[in-house]
Amino acid sequence: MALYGEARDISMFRHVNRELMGNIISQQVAIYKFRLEETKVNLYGEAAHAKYYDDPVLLYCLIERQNQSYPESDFGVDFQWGITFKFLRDDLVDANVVPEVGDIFLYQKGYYEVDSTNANQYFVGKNPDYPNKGDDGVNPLENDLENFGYNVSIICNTHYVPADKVGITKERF
Amino acid sequence: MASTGRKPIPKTQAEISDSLIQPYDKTLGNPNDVQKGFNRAEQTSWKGDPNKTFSVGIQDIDESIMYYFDNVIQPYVQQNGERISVPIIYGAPERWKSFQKDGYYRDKSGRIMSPIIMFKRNSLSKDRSVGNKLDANKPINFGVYGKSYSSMNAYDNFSVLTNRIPDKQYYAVVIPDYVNIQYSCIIQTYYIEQLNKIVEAINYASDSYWGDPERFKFRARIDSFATVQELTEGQERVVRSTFDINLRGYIVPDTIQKELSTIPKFRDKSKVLFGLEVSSLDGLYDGDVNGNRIDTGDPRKKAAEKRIESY
Repeated sequence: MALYGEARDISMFRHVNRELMGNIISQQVAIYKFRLEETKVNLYGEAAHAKYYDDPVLLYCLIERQNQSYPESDFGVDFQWGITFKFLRDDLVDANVVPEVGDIFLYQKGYYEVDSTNANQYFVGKNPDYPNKGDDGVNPLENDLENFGYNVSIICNTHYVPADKVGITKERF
Repeated sequence: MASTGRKPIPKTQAEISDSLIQPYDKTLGNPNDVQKGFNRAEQTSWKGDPNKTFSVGIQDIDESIMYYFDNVIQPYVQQNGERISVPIIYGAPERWKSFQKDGYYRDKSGRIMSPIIMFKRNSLSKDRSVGNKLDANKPINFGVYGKSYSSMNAYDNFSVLTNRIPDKQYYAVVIPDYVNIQYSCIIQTYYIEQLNKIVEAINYASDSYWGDPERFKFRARIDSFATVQELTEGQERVVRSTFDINLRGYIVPDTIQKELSTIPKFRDKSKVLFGLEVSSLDGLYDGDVNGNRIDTGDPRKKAAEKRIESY
C-alpha cells in the first residue's frame, strides 16, 4: 500500500494551489476552443475563410513569459513572443476545458496558439487515473492506486499569433 | 621669397595634336581643329521649358514594379469574410520605418500580418544585344524627339496664312544603357488557398510591360514560382512563394559626362528665301537721272503712253 499522497493530502494541495493562484497571484487567461464541426477545412488542411470558436473560458494560471524577440528578414522587423501558461488541472476539469495543440489563448489583448501541452507533473510520481488494474479490476501488487497521487497541472507552451489570423477581433480596416 | 612665375601647365593631347598641324593658308587657320571649340548654338537655355533633361534611373524602374503591383495587378485575398488588399513593400527597409511607420501591415504588437508581398532588386547586368552609345564620354548615338508646340511655335494656323514653316524644337537624348534587372519577390500568406490566388494573378501579368503608362514601362518576365510551406515548432506556419522578375530596362543617368558631351536640345534651321522678280516693262529702264538715283516715274503709265504713240 502506498504510504503518501492520499486523497486528504491531495485535497490540501488543491486547496492551497487554488488559494495561491486565485487570491494571491491572480494571473488570468482566456481559452478559445475551436468549434470543429463548424470550421470548414480545405484540401490543404486550413480554414482559410472563417474559424469558429466556443465562448472563451477565463481561468487562473501561472504565466511564464519569455523575452520578446524581433527577428529581422526581408520583410523588415518582425515580432515573436513565447509564453508558457500553467493551469491547475482541477480548474480545467471543473470548467470542462481541455487545452490542446492549436487552441488559442487570449492574454493582454494578444493571441497565443498552443504549440504543446504537458500534463506530467504528478505528486509523488503517481497519476491516479492509471491504477494499473486488469480486466478483472485487480492490481496484484497494489489494489488502491486510484486513491494515491495527483495529476497537478497542464502546462501549455504557446507562441504569439497575429490577431487577424485568429479572426476573433477585427484587426484590418 | 618672390614668386618665380607661373607653374607651367602641361598640354592636353588635343593641344599637342593641334600644334602639329600646319595649315596651308595661315590666314584661314587650321580647318581641322582637334579641340572642340565653344559653339554658342549649343548653349540653349532651359528657362521656362517644362521638359527637363531626360533621364531614367534605377529607382524609376523599381517604382514601375511597385506601380504595377499596386495599380494593375492589385492582388487581394479573402480572409475572415473580407476582401483584403495585399500590401507590397520593398525588401529590407530601415528598422524604424519598418517597425514604426509601416503600421498598416502590422498588428498591435508589431507582428507582420499576412498576406504581404516583398520585392527587392538582386542584380543589374548590361544588355549589349540591344543598343550602344559607342562612347560614354563622347556619345555619338542619339535619339531625337521633337516637341510639337512651344512658346516659339504656338498651336495655331497663323503660319499657313503667312506661308511660314513653324520652328520646331528637338531634344537629343543619348542612347540608353540597356540592362537586365532581376528582382526577387516573396509572397507570404496565412493559407495556401490565398497564396494560389495571388500567384495566379501575378503569373497572368507576366511577360507584359510593367510600369506607369504616364512614365516608363518595361518588359517583365516571370519564369517560375517556388512554394514553401513549413511548420516550425514555436513559430507560425509559413506559407510562402518565391519568384524572380526578369525585367528588361534601360537607364539614362544624370551624369555630368552626359550633360557636358551632348547637345540636349536644338531647333531646326529656319530659312530665309530670296526670290527673283523679272519685269518686261521698258519704263523701268528709261528713267530720268536724279542725282545718284534713277527716277522711273510710273512704269505702267509710261508703257501705256508708248503704246498710244505707236498707234
